[in-house]
Amino acid sequence: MQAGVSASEIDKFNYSLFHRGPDYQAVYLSPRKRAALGHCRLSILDMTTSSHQPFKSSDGRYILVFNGEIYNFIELKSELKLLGHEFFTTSDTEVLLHAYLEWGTDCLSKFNGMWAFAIWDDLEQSLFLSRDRFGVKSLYFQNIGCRFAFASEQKAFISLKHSVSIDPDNLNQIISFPEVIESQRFTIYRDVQKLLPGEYAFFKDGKLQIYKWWDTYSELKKLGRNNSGTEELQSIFHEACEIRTRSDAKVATALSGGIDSSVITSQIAKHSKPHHEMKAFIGSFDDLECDEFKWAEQVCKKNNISFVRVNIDQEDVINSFSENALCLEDINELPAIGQSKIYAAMREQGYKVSIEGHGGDELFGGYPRHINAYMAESIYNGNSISDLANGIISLSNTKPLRNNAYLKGNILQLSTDPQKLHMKGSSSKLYLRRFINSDKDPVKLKVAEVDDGEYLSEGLLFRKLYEDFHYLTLPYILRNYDRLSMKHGIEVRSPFLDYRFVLAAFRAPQSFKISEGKTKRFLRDGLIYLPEQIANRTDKSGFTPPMISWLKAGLAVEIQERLNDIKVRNSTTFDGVGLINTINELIKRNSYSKLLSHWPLINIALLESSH
Amino acid sequence: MDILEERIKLHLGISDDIYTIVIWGAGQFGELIYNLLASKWPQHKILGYVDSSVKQVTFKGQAKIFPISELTSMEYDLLFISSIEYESEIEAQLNSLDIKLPGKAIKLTEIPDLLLLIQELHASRDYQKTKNLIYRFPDVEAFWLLLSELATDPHESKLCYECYQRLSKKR
Repeated sequence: MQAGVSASEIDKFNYSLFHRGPDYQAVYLSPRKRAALGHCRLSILDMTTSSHQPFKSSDGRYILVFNGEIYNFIELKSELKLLGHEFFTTSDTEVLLHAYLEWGTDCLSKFNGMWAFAIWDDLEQSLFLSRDRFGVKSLYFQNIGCRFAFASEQKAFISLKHSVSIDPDNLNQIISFPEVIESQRFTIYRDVQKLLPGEYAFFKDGKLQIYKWWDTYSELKKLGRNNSGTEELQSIFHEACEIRTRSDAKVATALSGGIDSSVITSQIAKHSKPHHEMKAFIGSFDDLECDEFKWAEQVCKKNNISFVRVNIDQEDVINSFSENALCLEDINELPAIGQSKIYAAMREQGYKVSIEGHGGDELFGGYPRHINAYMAESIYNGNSISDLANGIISLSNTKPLRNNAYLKGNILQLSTDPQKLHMKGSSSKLYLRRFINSDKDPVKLKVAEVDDGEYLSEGLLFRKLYEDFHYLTLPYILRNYDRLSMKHGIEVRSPFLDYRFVLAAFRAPQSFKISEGKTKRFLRDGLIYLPEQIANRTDKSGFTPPMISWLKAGLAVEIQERLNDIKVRNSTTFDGVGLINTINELIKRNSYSKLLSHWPLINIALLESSH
Repeated sequence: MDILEERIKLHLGISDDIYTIVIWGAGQFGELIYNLLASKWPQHKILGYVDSSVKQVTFKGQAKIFPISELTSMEYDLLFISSIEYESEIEAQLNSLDIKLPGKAIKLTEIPDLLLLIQELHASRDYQKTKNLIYRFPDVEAFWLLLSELATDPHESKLCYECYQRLSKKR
């Protein structure tokens, strides 16, 4: 924008994200060539040409590019029709634009969905951008001089005149704790920034102004606390699932056999229509200890759902680890293994939508650190020896805390500070910093709500869940799943992230989350359509591939070979020679866990050598 | 006060002595101990870590990591063992170097005068006092065993015994 855009440049920029929208690609160049918008369409609602984007208002003044879904578009359309709006398509895209024309920025709080969108006003010569409440869809931008560019993925900027490179200072701020990056404005790339969840922005006359439009804690304060019950949560959950099946394309679910995806799959089965041809895709590992297929199969049988078993083995991993790192385009604590193959299988069978259980762990306390928060709370309140005992027993069922020494070490590190509960264990890898060519200190996570005294008086488990949901784990997971699914043109939808459900879950009493040492109580007890054995599982540890055995069996050597690249050796971002020597030494000593803990650096080396 | 902080405080005692300290194990837990000591007890001097993974002196941030072989020539008052999983192996290694536990070397999973304390509690059969001690020392299995004996509620007693088992047995 502003500095003038050529058709070939915007074409190239747009084409770089072709994978996100393989159904149709187009660009809009404003009459004065001051703005250009590109869009790659994944057609899910109204698959006709009338909903192609960039989407123009009937008078041609406003042009919209939109990534995501507004699930309540049918209800909003009725409301807008009563206000005199006329519609010519059956898509949510048209509803979004009319909602903006009618309500301006207030339209955002009426939307129930996930999005990153931009609207160009050709009369005012201004651009409006917005991102959804919880950051399901990403929106990156580059604002250099008078030129402003934005995209759903960072790799798009590589095609621009002012190309991007990894910034060692930015990297050194987050290398030891990569999850934290999603709550920061900066990215690992120089001059690329992001709109944060719940923000909108205007760009006009060369100036960018950013505003926060959504704040979960303020909403919770208005609604009160400990006042949502089973019925309310059940009813919202059912509706959240129903509106997420609104699709003219085929609908799948990614089923792991854990509680979250089992609950979602069971419920979606009730709402799916014949044209959805609903099918569950189950990732299955050749290592029996990690394989969850038998659990997932039980869910399918109980709900009479057809399924596809997607086998993920050593060879797949060797073939895809590098490609997946490039697809994720960011810093990660561990390699992403398997998910990409599941989405590829969906696409191969003509599916475009996958409904999944993201957010369940962060809303209802699914991670061991949440049990730590529950235990720490009972210790510092000194009021329930049973809670403490149940917490210890529950933790001792999880790997690696089955070993009593680890269990004791974990208890010794219990803290009343939510961030300390997070940083302990593998999350804090300060030793990685010595490889980066920068002296910049690690970024300190700033939780905005701690400035509010009321927030500080909340229970420890509430705060840990709130911070994991808004600042740490969930935003990081959402970013990765967006990249991995959209690489294959699959849109992930998450009923637990319906904002009404999120508010109800945070308002619910602690007993809906962890009680008697059992995690995710509402999902186990309040949604009664799970097979009993799954509802009572305490051994699930997510979609966890057998990384160490794969490393031993050849993946480590493959990584070693991939790093042996002149670009890695000559890197000015990090000590490439040092990294290569360290990895060689770790392989020589068979220290595979330690090797895996160096993944954030390997990940960066793979990214940099691809540029 | 967090549990680890209280545990270190207990081992440092209340005297005004200024100690020179070494930490065995430069892993994440060792680092946590280092940071706590440096921030809460700045009067003591931390020489650094000793760790079996290094063959010569290296650095972890500002702190030095020494090879284990240098331990005998180092001058220090207290050595904190940060590797809980290998405590007994480290203890054996320390014995071979003639460094006795308790005294100079500290196992953080233990508390000073534990046996005496347990004997007193057994004698007094004080349920509330035992419970309060568990809130301070939830990782010490002996208190859970005792509480399982003192609890009148059979459910609570069973839970406490289960905890004792989980904390004491290698599974």
